[in-house]
Amino acid sequence: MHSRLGKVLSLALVAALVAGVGGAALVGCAKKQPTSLVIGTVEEIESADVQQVNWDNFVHMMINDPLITMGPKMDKVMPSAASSVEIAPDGSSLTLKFPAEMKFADGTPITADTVKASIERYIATSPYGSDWDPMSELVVVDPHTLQIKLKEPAAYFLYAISTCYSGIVDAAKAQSMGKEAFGRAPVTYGPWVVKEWQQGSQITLVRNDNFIDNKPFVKNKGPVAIETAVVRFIPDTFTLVQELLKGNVDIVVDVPTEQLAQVQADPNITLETYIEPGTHYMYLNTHRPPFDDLRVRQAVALAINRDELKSALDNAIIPVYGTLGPAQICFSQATEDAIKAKLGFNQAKAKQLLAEAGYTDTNGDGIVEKNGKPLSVTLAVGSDRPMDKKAAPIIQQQLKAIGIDVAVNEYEYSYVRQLTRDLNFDMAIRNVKWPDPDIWYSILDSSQTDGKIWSDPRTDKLLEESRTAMDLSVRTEKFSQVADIIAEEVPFVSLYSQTEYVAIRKNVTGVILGVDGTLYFNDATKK
Amino acid sequence: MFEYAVRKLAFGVLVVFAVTVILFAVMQLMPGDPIRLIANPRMTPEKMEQLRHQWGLDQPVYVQYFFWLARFLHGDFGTSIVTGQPVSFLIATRLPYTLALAGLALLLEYALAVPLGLIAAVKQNSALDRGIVFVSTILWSVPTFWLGILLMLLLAVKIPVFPISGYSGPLSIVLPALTLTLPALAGTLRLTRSEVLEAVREPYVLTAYAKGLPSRAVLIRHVLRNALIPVTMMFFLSLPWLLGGSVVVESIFSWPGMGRLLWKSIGVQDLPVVQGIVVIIAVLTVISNVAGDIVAGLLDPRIRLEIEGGER
Repeated sequence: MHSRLGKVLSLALVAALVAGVGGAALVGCAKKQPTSLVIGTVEEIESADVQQVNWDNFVHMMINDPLITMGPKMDKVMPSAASSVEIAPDGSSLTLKFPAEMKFADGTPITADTVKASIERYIATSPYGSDWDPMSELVVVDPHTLQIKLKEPAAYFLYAISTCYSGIVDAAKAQSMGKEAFGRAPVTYGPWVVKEWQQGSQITLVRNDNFIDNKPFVKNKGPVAIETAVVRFIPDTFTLVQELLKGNVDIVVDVPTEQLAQVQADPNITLETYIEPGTHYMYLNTHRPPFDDLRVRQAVALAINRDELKSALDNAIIPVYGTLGPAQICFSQATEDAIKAKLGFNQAKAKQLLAEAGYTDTNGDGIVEKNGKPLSVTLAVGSDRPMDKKAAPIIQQQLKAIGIDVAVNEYEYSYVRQLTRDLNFDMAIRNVKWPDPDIWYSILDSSQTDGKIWSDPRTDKLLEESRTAMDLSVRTEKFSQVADIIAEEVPFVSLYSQTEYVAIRKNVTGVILGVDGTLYFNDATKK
Repeated sequence: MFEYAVRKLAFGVLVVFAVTVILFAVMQLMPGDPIRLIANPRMTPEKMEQLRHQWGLDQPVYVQYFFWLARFLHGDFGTSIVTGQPVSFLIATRLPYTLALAGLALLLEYALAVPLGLIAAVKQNSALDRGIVFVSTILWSVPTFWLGILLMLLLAVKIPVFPISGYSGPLSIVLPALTLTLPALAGTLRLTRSEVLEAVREPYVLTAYAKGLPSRAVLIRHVLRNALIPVTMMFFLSLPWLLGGSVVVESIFSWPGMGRLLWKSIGVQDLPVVQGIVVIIAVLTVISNVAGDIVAGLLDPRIRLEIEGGER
């Protein structure tokens, strides 16, 4: 008996010891990394192959050089992987030339046929193959020249092919390796290439010694100086910042506002900022009471005090009144000012509109009623959206001040999106983040949404026209008119654009930050 | 005993099957589907429908389950809808980390709890006993995330003994393991203490003392040996819980275990991944339960006779 217990206990403890130590040794063995640039981010990539992902990640920007670029100021088309880009005067085609010496990291030459095959794979494979819908034909003019013929001029198409999604991949290797293997170790053209991806932990990138960069605003047009880059996936923001402060991470691309003060106080860290190219807005369900009444929607819009919101959110937001954020292409300050004049904070007018809609406070409890029913609504907000989560109770109080009782419900943001798609909500805070305003075509145009959440034939027409307007001022005017209609009908209330923070340790220099948050490492060095 | 084990394992297969059916049904109750959850506004409605068709999400629920079961019985856990990677690959890359963390946490828990529980029982009502119980109760009450951050600040930031997060060697596992161990310690310690207190009052202990055995020999060879029977069974029952992974600990310390993968997959309804992980946990739970029963029978003749008597 005694010996049996002893044996069983010993066996159990030895098994635990072996699992623990053996597993620790197993996981410890392979993971020591050479000195390298270490970047920390919260979200892990879905796949290393940008043509298979639903959401792109910082990593994809590092391993995929786009065909063209809009530049750090997002103001004009420039070459990137292509050494030159010519847009036909009528907008009917783009001609891209590629350097003759262009190669993948493994030495495989990149020709116009390679690029064409990559684009065709993207169209067939990617969830966003529709980015290339404007294209009618890809013509290989010569081994280093590819012409993209368009069905009609498409201004938004230029931005789509200036993102990492247009990065060139070796389609032949993708075919031979299979989707799964290629998703773990794709053959891409960019400043770095994937060396090893430790699932759930980090991805190690090594320099592409065959890389040629044609961006005019970078000094170094060849391989980057930093040999190795490690992108660590650290889901907890507190832990992420601790690693940064300790010097284990050199760059954090999404510094949480809760730890901003700690990061700002560190003399070894530079804090760069950019305005999020998008907006956060509060959807109102126009399909059911009370927001089927325009006056109630207008009252909500007028009750939001964005300056108070900004102050309460530690000035980490830029108030937005129109449809586009200040960092988005086609943003018009004049339009923004005009809509602010119309829908800016005006509590008295908000109360008046509610009264006109039949809502009055008959029992003195501070909440208005109509036909004996109090004006009570729910506000869905993403629990994984820190800024929206902080804004929600402030909005709740602001609406309470005009007599609307708001219950804030927190859910995973993916579920908030689901609720709005199912029209199972009263109010919901959502956001859009895409520099090109054509994203609103996907959100509002009734051909894309079956008019589910809201649509208007006037905005449909303007959004369609904006797609073919190559002149920036014409395109801006179209979106301004869309913003005017939104301000008139108020299917949603724009709230703010977030200020984003990028922390870079001072021993890393030469990193260029674009207005859309893109980091350019061509001239970067690490001491 | 062997027949008993075989019967229990056979029943366990039915349990695993039932778990998969229930899980499948519960996941279907969640609104929407993974394509709609992961898509951003750029995805056209046509593409969404194409992807739903590609993944079989437009099929009736029972058809989807049948195809999953058919693949599973051939050893194919399917492919993740979100990442496009085989579920078996995703699990295999994370399982060593989960085993390492669970194994070390269990080892530390029992290595600390059993001696401390014995000491607390022997020194019952002394300052030492009260101190041990007090500290263990506090540890039991402390939220895991708070404890993890506290340990990180003390032992990785202020006094940099261990890495803050991720893995960079064997030392990386210590803080996550301690975070799992310390709250669990209390339960095992209190169980050991109460079992030892009960055993110490048995007549055979008095007999052992009367025979002139030294106190140490009485405690270790007689008292502890009987008191540890339920504690040993607890060991086997704890294993599946730890193998399921602790999302909180894995998130705080960026530990790439199965827990975080499961949590993320549930959020986006990546059903193949959720099914795969839950099946593994269910199988391990069944095996652990059977192992616990067998161990109990081996250690305690009364239980073994009951089992064997039941077979007759």
